[in-house]
Amino acid sequence: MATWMKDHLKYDSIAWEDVNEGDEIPSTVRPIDATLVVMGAVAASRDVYPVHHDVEAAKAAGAPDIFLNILTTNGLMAAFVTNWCGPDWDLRSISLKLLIPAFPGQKLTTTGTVTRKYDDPVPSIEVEFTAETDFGPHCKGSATLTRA
Amino acid sequence: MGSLYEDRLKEHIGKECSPIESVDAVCTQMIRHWIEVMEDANPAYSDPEWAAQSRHGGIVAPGSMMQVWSMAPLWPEREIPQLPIEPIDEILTEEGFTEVVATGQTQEIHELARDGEAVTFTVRLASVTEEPKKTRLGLAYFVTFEYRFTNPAGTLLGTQSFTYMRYRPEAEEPAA
Repeated sequence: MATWMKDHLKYDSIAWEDVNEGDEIPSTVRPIDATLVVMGAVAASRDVYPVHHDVEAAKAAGAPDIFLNILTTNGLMAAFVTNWCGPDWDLRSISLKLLIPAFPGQKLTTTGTVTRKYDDPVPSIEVEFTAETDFGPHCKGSATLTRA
Repeated sequence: MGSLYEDRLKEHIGKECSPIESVDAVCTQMIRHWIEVMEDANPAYSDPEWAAQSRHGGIVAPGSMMQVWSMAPLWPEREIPQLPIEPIDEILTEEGFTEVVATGQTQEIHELARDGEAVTFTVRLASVTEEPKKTRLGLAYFVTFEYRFTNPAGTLLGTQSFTYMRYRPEAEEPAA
């Protein structure tokens, strides 16, 4: 595979011993622009609901602009967690509640915390995460991961 | 006369459609369109050499992507079994609950879909709130349905419960 791609992948993983309850997941900041909203809906998730690519349709639905679809929010949150812990961890569940919509021009700042660590029946952690826009929380959620 | 829930909504709860196969089998192109947007750096999704020697035995699709395999084609219109949320949407629309917004979801990931494999899914209506609730956007019913995704061997890949609210925009409410 091409080096230009490999250079951006994450091959190392956090060791079981090195993760503890209360650990913070390093926060990330993702600028939201129309390209992210449209590519997230149309290209990544095949969601052609007009409010995610057509400003007029979004306005008719009462929103000021197009906004992120839930599949994209979910994919961003999943990647936030697994980009931190690495490929030797398996995402087993992810749950999220949508709060305020995320519009182009906003920044999405995601933070997370390890809330539980246990090894019965398999080495597992639970994390909680929040993604904030400049106007308030876009989503809150949690995820469970196991160490291979 | 009973409530809308008792009279028209309740009878649909628990109904599940027959299995539907994804338009496309899992493929590296659709995976890449997903990971480019998410900036997902897991080599299991995009590095064939790493994936082949990993516990996955080859490229797999992100579990977070499962719902994508259920999405309808833009063209041509595809005949699929009626989803159990359709009658609910029709009834609520008739009653003035015309707008929809997703409010939350949960995915349970059992196995990852492998490159080249088709994904089959079903949709089951799990619940509808018995009474409309007051929300910031207007009076709303919350509808929860659940996808089940399987691979060609019949192995459960995962489930996803999805909740949306169907609301009557505030401005359209009749004056008291």
